[in-house]
Amino acid sequence: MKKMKASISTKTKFSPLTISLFVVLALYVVFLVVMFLWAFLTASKGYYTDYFSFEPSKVPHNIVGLPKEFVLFQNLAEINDGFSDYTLVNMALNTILYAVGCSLSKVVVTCVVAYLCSRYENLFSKIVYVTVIVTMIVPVVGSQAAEIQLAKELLLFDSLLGMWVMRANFLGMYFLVFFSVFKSMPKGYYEAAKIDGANDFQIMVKVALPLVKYTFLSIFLILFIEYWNDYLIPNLYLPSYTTLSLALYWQSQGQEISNPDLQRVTYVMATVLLVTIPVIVIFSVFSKRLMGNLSVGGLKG
Amino acid sequence: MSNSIIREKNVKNVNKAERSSNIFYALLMIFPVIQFILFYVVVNFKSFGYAFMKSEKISETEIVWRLTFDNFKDWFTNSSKLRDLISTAKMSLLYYGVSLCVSIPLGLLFSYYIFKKLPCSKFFRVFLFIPSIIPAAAFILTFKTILNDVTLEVFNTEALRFDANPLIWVIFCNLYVSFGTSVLMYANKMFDISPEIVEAGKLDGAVGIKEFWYLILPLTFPTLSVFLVTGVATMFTNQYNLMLFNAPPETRSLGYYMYILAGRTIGYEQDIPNVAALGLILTAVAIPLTFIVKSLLDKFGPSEE
Repeated sequence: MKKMKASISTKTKFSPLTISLFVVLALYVVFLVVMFLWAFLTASKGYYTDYFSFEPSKVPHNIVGLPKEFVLFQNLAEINDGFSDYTLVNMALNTILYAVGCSLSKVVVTCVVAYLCSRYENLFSKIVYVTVIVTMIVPVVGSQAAEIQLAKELLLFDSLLGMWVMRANFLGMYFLVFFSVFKSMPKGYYEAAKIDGANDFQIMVKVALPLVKYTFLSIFLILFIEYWNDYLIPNLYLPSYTTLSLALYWQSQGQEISNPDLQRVTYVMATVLLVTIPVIVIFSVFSKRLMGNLSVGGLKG
Repeated sequence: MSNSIIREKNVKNVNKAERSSNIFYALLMIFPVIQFILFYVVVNFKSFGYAFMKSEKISETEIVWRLTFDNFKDWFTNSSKLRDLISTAKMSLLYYGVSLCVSIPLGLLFSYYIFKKLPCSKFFRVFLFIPSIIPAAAFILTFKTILNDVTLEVFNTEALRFDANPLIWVIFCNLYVSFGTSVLMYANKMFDISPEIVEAGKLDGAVGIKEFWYLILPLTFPTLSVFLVTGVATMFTNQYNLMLFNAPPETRSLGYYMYILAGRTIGYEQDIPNVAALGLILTAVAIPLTFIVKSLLDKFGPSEE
């Protein structure tokens, strides 16, 4: 049967539809590649060697050409010292702490609650399961102002620890992903561990969690990228912990910078590279894990 | 006698194991449950409560809160607020319409291309995903700089500048980055379709666009309907990266408008009731709309059979 399935191919010949799609997709790719190639070249240019001259008759205006000299690292060094309150290193550290802490707290809580609900089939577990489904279907809009107020009251506002606590919830589709993976595990594993004398904690840590490590890693990576890229939440909740994405926005607006030159295109593009490269590296290393596991309900195990 | 002692011991052991399991369960559940109560239940109750309250300053240091419907009335009687509400609602509807009429059909067609394993399909799959993981700040600022500087240099025209057509560029950019997850999910769902069904369809004359329309689309519909139903909520929450575009007020969506209003409440507690009232109004529209879309899709959507 499997052989027969393999022999029946889904491949097809080109048709007007597929030719049009090929053209659109090729343009899509070209646009993306050109855009980031331009960003890289621009980030490597010196503003005063490629764009601006003190002698108006000799304005180089090198917007689309190759850099006259490669000064990407010098540009980054200037950006490092050009913000009002933080260095680039500080902001990178804020971003790492925000992204790792939020994604880890979210994924750990979700995983543990899903494990408990799948393994201990009691009324409370059913209530938790139904709660997750209901909160996913019923859209509640506009409670952010009240959340900020509550965060202030609980002294969690403008605190990285506060953000980790606020993100440590079990709601959302990742709960369903973990739940279905735990549910699909044979109960015999748990029983065998119990007979061998393992207690509930040991069964969870030594039997159940190692079996979901790849799902855990996939969800962690997806969340990490999401938080790394996030600028909206840090802008509202973390005024003292500027992250790189938010810094890039401030820089482009000419705000929060002590060196006015930082608003220039070469420096903005250098920060663009700095923010983008870690995500691209993660994607290059884990692309199969990030892309291969996505399916209708979220992620497969 | 000895048997009954052993039985009693076993019962005791089972009870002890159950008790320790219950303790373990309760201990691990404490934090997530408290977190949920605080940041979902309390937050939403607070927001609900704020919507019906208004602060009054009775002295320099004292503020009293009173019950009122004024916050709701305000959104429909204050002409500037009503104008903002209508304008942002129109924009959200437009963005949702573009997603419904352009992004979703294109995403399905791209997925079909990948499913048919046509030339470079694996390569395209990766490239369609990349914009959804690249930081929006990086993507949009690069895109905007290219529009403002490079197009002027290369094409020698001001017509392509961002400021010349902000709405079109906001829509284009959000459309461009919208394919990643949806294309992956549609394509993965298409790969679940049995090749025998595709082959049988071919024998019945379902080739090219016919195959896509009569065979692939109905079989992908369960995944598509998830996107359509959850998409209703995005109409009220999606900010379309408008902060990064620094786009003019007339392009604001409801989600971005709510974000701005929420930001303004930091340090101004007396503004929260107004924002909470708007949130409640929008929730009152979003919930029934979501269920209407869901029931319409259940009733009229194509069947997998």
